[in-house]
Amino acid sequence: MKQPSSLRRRDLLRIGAIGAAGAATAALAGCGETQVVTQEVVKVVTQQVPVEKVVTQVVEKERVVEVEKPVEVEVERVVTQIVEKEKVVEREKIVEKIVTVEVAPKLRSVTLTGWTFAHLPRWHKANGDLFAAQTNVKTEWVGVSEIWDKLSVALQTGVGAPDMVDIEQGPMGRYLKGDIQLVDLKPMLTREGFWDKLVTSRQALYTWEGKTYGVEYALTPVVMYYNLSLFEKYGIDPEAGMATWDDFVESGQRMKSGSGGETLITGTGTGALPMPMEPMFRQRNRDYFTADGEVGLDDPVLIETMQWMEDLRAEGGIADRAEPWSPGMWGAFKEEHHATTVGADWIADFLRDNVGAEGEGKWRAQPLPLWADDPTMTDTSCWGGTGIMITTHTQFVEEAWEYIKFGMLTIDGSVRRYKDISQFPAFLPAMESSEISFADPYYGGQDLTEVFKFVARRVPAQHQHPFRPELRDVWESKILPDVLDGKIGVEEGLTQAAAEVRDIIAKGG
Amino acid sequence: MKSQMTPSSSNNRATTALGAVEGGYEPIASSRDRKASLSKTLRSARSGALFGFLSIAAIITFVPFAYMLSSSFKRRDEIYSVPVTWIPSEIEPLNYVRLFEEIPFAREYLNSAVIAVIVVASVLFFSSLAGFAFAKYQFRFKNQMFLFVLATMMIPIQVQVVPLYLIVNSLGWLNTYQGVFVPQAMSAFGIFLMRQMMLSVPDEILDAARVDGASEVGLFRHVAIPMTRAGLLVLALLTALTSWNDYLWPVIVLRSEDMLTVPLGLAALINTYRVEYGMVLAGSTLAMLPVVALFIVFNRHFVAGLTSGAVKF
Amino acid sequence: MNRNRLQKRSAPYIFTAPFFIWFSIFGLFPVIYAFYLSLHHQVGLVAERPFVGLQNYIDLVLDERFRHSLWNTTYYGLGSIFVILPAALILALILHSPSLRLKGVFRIAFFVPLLTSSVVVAVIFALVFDTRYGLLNNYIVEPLGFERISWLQDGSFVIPALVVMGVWKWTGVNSLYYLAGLQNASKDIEEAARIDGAGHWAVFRYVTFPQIQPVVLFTVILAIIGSYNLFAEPYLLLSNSGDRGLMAMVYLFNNAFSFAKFTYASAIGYILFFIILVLSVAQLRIFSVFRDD
Repeated sequence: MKQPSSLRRRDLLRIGAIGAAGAATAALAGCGETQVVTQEVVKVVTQQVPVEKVVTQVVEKERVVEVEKPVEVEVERVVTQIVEKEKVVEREKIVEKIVTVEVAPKLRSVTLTGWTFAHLPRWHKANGDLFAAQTNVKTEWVGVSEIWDKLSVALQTGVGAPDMVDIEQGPMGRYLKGDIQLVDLKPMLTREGFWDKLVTSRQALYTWEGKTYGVEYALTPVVMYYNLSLFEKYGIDPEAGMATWDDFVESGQRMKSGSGGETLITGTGTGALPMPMEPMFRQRNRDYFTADGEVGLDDPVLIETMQWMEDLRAEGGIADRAEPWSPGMWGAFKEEHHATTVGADWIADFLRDNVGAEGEGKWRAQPLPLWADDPTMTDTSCWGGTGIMITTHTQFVEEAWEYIKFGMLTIDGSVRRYKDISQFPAFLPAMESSEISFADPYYGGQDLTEVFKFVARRVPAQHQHPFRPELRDVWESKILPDVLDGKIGVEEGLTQAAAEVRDIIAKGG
Repeated sequence: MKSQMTPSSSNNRATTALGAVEGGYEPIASSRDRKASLSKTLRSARSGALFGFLSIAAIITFVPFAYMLSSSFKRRDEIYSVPVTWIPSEIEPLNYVRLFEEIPFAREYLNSAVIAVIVVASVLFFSSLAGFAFAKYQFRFKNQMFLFVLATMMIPIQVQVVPLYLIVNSLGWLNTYQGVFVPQAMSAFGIFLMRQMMLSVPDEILDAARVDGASEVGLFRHVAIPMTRAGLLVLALLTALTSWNDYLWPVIVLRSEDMLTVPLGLAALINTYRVEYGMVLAGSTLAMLPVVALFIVFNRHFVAGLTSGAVKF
Repeated sequence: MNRNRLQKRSAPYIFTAPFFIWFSIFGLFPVIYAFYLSLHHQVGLVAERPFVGLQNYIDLVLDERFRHSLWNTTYYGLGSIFVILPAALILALILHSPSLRLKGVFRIAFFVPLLTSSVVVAVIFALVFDTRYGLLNNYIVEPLGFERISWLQDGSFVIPALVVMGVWKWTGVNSLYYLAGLQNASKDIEEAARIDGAGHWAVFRYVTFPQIQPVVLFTVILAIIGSYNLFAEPYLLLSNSGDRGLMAMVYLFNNAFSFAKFTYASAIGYILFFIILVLSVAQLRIFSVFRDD
């Protein structure tokens, strides 16, 4: 595939992405010369000692492992149309320090209760067994699908709440109104040095007014999944053909004309849109709420993104739609009617399980196409998320916190979670573990972990707000259908939705 | 107006209705028809067409089930194959195996069954008792009380959840069978239905039994109940169905894995991050079995029961 | 004799007592509590809720989304009365046909949809209504020469789709009620009318229908209660349809649980209760259910 012109444009357009998101890398990079940076990473591995063993002295086994790992990061920058290329060779020196500290003696012999959903019951069962083997704390988890309705009733009446609960980002806002009956984990996270080891933008989902109530399970990096065989069939190089969203549209047109309309580049999104709406906004660092807790629906860039998606659906004819998560969606992938889907880490298993044999070896993933001339965007986004939390009704905050640390804030726990239920960890030290890297035969031997790791530090924040459920309801249920039906324009719709939500917030519900 | 509302055959008993349904009366209609054989041919052609139409309608009604049944034996990626494969490429019980291995389905089944049996027994007993009183006795404020009972049927359960939860908690019944079944142990609908059934029990028989020295409880047990058996079967089936599929309230009350019921277990397999249609379809097929079996066994009584109930409005 | 009379006088109270005792705990208290809640204001899961009188009810009357949900619900209710019930009646008339074979099999076939859990119904109907792969579009809409319909997204088809699902689910059980009515209708009058030369339609219209009218009214009441209480199917099936398919009960549920406004939700519950009550009592009066036998 020879496409010199598009490669060149791609060079120009990469800037935006890395310019904003790769700020840290850019800073390291200096200007224009090859540099060697040595970074020292100290890993502290905490081992727990059973109660019976009284540890009088903290044993320190210091093991210095020096790993020289040249990391090549390509950073391109344009200053008034001039392309500069910089190469940075980063030498990472990892110092691993194993420290044995006494933790267990403080823990009481109790049974913690927890409510969860999805595939997490399986994970908690396994994790709880391991935890119980090392401590005298047992855990009892129950998983049902309407977990939040159950939690609402318990918190509303103040009786029967569990010690711990997994709350999905969608319903999270419900519990931030009125009396917040969740324990602020931020002091513990910062005191024990975990805050900087988490992809901080993910923690925004559970943060409100400076307090953080949950620890995120997964990074949910959003990437572009695509059917490579279709791109090859219509002579399109996926990297160049999806370098920018303009390229994406162009590739879509080639695919459509090449197949006589039988293959469309996309069709899986929110409502009748060709893409999932929220992740597209967040790719440009826009969200339903801003970092300051303001309604962000009527932001000009957000409106522009929405308008672009709507135009793509209406005019381009290169996309149609399938009901999300329906048999039709998987059917469209199976019979190669749709060639791509924008999705997070958890989509990987959906494709494997539901598209199955017909897609075997055909699918790949790469970072999202970029937005031209947008310095605030990046090459990834985030979609979904679940946090583990402690309710204020518990009498065992210390024990619950130890459980959370054990499962979520250790390399071992994070790796186990990824292997067991395919949730790519948001815990940075775990990302370096070789155990989560493997060639996936379903994805033609591609190691998806490499893609997720590549975008990991640029995953944008999704800002939580007590009235997020109301905003989603007003915008997505009430006004979006009118926009999609052409009854009102995109800008008008978003402006109206923003005004209504502001009104609801002002009235206090 | 009133006479028009009351079917002329309102003195029918459940037993006559039973005979009418099952015995049929086709000979009567045709024997009176003394028209030529041409008309007979037309008639059989018409009934053939009706049979055909009905068969098509029945098949359409059955399509979703055929899909459920066949897909429950498919590999998970074949469930979505297009066009739909009605017979799986390879029939394998994997979904059924996973159902028992990955979730405590047998335990859920048992829980559902225990709750359903208790609810049915309780609803039948108390509904027929109260229905008997409303149908066959005169007492102060009877109609007002009855209207009141009916009216409360119309308040949605969703707004009652919070206060009910408070009550059940104060009784210490969270995560217990009684926490689930006591709040549905009696039913206004059941009383309404049983009242209609009991109306057809003749007062003369009751009075005669009284003269013979029968107690009021004896009347209920030995006269009213035997005469409304068909109605009780209807109520049993509808109650079992409701209890078996009950969702919202058990979700709120039950809180450990060993207490969950079938609908809760199956619903937990579908959400944003995980969709296990294969297991859901397999579980739903199994969940339907006892209710379908019950329906087939009671089919003839069931229609008879509806008949006697409908008569007395 | 005296003992008997005393027994007869006290029996109804004893027989109904268990129900009323149970009801005062598990029925009356929640209902009164819900009314109490409907007079208060709540934001979030808080212990204190200021008294606001009838404000929630006033807000609801002005709430365009609530009115929209009421309209959708009524639309569905009309659909179930004018589509599902006639379909059930036609089915019952066919099932009633004397020469029909396999009656028992058909009865079971048409009743079975009622036995399926809503979760499965929603999964299956997602497949039925799918625009590209749906059974409805592929086997009925397109062969009849129409354009594919986007059932769950097109505003004019969302409620009809729900009615289609209702036809599938409720036709069977309603036809059984009618069947029961038809089997009690007098054959002699029909036969006499036929001998007098009345056509099939005339016999049905002037002889058969008046006789089953009480059953028809009964099913209409059940349809009204069922429509205003419809929750699981729209909640599961129409989750991506937005307000196009917003039903009153779903709006109530969202307010109670998604927005933690149990107070507002209770007021919705009471307005729905009032609507159903008025419609039902009107029907029950016509039925003369309250006459003493």
